Amino acid sequence: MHALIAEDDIHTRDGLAEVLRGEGYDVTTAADGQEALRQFHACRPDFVCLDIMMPEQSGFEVCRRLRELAPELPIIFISAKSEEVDKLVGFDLGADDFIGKPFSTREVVARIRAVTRRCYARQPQPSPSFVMGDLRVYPAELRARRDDRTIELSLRDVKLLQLFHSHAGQVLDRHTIVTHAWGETYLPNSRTLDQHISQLRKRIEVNAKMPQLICTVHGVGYRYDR
Amino acid sequence: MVVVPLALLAWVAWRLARQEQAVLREQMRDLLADRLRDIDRLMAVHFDTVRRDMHRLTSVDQYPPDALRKRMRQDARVFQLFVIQPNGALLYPNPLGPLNRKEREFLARASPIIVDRDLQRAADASGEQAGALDTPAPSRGRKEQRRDRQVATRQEASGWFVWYWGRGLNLVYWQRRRSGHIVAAALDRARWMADLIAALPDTPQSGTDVLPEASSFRVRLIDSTSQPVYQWGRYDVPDQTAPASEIALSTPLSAWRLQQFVPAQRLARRTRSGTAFNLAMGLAVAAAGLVSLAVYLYREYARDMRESARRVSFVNQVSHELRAPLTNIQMYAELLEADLEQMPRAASDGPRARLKVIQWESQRLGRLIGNVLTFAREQRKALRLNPSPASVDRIVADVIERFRPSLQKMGIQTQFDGGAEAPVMVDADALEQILGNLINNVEKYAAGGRWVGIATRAEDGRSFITVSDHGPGIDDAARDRVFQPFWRGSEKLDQAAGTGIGLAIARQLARLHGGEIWLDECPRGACFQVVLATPPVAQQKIS
Repeated sequence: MHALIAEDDIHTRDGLAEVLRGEGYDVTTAADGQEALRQFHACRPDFVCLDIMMPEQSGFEVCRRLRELAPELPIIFISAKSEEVDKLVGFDLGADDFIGKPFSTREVVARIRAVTRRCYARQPQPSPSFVMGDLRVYPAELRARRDDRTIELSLRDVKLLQLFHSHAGQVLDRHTIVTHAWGETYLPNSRTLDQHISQLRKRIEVNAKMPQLICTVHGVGYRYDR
Repeated sequence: MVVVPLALLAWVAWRLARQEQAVLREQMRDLLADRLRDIDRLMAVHFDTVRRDMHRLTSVDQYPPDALRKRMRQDARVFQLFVIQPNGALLYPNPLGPLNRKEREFLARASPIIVDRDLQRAADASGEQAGALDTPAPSRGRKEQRRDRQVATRQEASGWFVWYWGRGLNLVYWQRRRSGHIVAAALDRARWMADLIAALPDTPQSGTDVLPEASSFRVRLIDSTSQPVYQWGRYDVPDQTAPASEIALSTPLSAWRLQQFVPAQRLARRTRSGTAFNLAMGLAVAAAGLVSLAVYLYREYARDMRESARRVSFVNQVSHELRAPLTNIQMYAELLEADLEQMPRAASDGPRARLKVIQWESQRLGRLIGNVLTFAREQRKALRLNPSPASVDRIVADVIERFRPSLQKMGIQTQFDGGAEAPVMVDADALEQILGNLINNVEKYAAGGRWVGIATRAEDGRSFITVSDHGPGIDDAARDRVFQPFWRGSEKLDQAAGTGIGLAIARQLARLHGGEIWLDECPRGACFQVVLATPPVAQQKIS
């Protein structure tokens, strides 16, 4: 899943990119409207996060242009201009969501996941659900369910669970896992994978201290036993 | 602003104009009467001259007929001199003696004088009047009485006597001599009338300002039979026209009158034209004043509006500008928090605590900016709510959760009694802002109470949220004023800081949400009651 972030404030842009990458998205950034349109043609993102007040071309103009190029493309406005009229103009131009500054990363993540679900829902053959122990995972919804309880998942969580599910019973080394879930170019520090698995376990395991789904294979990696 | 006062002013002016016209008419009549009095004075002066001359002529104590005839011929105005003896009998001209033509003519006319002794009676009456001083007052001394008698002796009675012969008025000047004889001069009627008319002006004196043309008036000298004796001025008086002014003449013609006629339209026009001009000028000045005032006020209003719009725009701009760095502070604090979670607990506890402070403060700053922006929107009537399905209890719990760390740090215990779990149509942002402002006030003003209680309940499509504390409470006098913008309990520097718009915004949002916020009576601390119109929604609509 590829996201394009168009934001003129470098810190906001980098911070948002880090948040989305942490969620498991591939991210391309643009510092102004024109660059955003160029990057759209270059990387064909699955959705776009647009600031409104940008140099060269405003977010509204970029949105209008993108709608002409890709009518189905999800677009999220992220702006300090969160006036009623700005929202109305944004939605009128076909924006899917509007996030006002200042925002919490949790809020952004929740909105991005909602957009991702809509993206999956539009696909002709969305990924089917699968079962891991007493847990049923719904990749297209970024959710899993155990009994009546719904568990929110990130895109990276889903990627990891899909990897473990498709290699049930096999020990997956750290490099394989990182390459699959973070990408070829990502160079995580030694604790990134372990921390992420630890966080994932807290959400999907009945008892995170005694994991039943994702087991640690010391010195090698992790394994899912069917 | 201009039309209504002008209409009112015009009505008042019309009333005043009518009153003024009435006054002007009276003034005009007085003025015309003054003119007639001037003419009367002229005539009085003329007769005074005649009187002096006649007095000299009748100052005679020897009455031989020839001497009297000679004396009479000295003044052509005299028709006949005559002398009445103290016993009332005519001494001269002696009806029994030889008489010339004029004397016979006089005797034929003068029966009221000779037969009826009217002149003598008039002279006696005048003499008694003059002789009143002759009676010594009991209180006066002998010397004063003597002086009075001398004065009375010198004061010889004299005067005019009028008698009619035929339809004509005849004048006689008489004086009683010391001997008791009355010596009188009957004036030639044609002569004295000719002299009188010659003494009259062609036009009223000093009347040019009122009656500039002879055609604009007519003055009539009216005799005792109401017949005009003489008239001047070229105004052709219609029949049955009442005079514009009329006076009785002074002695000796006190039976005669002077009448002045003026065209009614001209009089009305003169009074009206002056009034109309004054009215028009007054209205014009008032209108100019009102228009100037309106223009001034409009310019002031427009300037205020521009200033206000500039201020709102400035506040908006500043608030937006503040949001960008605040976004980064909050976002990087959260990213840092995520990083710290990957570190061993023992090593990261200190940084985590400091990071929490950064997060709380940035959230507080976010609320302040939110308040300022909401206030600015409200000021330009751009504040809109968007209710959507949500649980009031969940929103309240989220707000409490956000405040919990800072409340705990201040030692404030939180108690939440939820009773509005069911989904309703509510603007979550508005409710969060209302509740945030109320809890923020507890932090600032009621932290000493160490307790904040929040309770909710739903009833008849409305949600009630109560926020109470155990702080110092709010004076009864300030119960309503706390909701006024920029009202602060005290401006002392040692008071808690604040913008003074939190509760005003809370009330505005509550009202926009079809509800209200007020300060309830409570035994301890302050108790804010919020009620919002929150129609219920079907469960499946909850996102």
